[in-house]
Amino acid sequence: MLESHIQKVLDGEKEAFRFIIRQFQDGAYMLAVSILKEEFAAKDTVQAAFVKTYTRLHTFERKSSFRTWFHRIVVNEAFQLLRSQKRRQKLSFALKADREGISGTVNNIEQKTDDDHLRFYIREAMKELTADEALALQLFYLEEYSIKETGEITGWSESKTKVLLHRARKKLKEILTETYNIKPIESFE
Amino acid sequence: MKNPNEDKQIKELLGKSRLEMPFPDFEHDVMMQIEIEESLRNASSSGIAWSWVFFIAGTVFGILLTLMIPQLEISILGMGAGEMNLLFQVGFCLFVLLHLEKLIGLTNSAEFGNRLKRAVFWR
Repeated sequence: MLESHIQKVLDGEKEAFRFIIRQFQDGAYMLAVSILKEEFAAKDTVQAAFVKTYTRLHTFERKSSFRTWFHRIVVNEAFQLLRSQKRRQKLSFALKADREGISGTVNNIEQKTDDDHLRFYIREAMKELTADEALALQLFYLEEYSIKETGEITGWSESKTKVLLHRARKKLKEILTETYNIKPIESFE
Repeated sequence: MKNPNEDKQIKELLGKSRLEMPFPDFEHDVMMQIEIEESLRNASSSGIAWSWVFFIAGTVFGILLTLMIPQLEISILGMGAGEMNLLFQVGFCLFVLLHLEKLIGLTNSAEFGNRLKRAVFWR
């Protein structure tokens, strides 16, 4: 199905590209948000990535899957924007302050949280990870790429990917436990 | 050591934070941007094509001039037809080579060159 739509786009049927947008927009948006921590910047990045994908579709050599190739474009676009904005330092200071503000009240919550609250806290916790850490978690656990494939998309070595995943897992658990009083085991009961 | 149980927990936890594109006009915005890009590219392709047409016309005209100048019986700044022709030929050659290099560079640029190749070889 995807292959036929790609071929239609290459043959000049522009409207066939809509299928590709619908198929990949959510995953791409999540990757961009994990790097940029902001929805509007993520939207612009994903839009630029789709336009670049369309204009460069003829260069897709099928050495990897289309999803891998496309996600590589999204990740590159997001990091390009992040570098140009130089927002990382300001953002980490702001989040650190927020976290210190929140911990006093949230730590008093003893009871199990419902799905909406849990979703909110996990997303907030993900924002506190660095761009690399959040991206590593997204690619490995949600997009289910292997370590090697993650390295192909990001340009990281296998050892760097493993270190980032280990660090990100540890940090995520700490944030959820210490700030939001969520123990991972509880969330699955 | 890697704990597969921990991996499963993290995967399920992160799964709860899945996001969807929250902008309903996103698809429309992307297609609009593609339209704009395409029209810009078509305009530049057309410009490059016309550049070749005028370059070739100018080159032919320049060659004709180099053949005609020796037949002119005039003198400018003390220079006869032969000297003027030499000066013109040197200037003309430099002009043609510089512009030819620029035009070839433009034509070989990634976007235009590949589209041209597709048009010539794939259809």
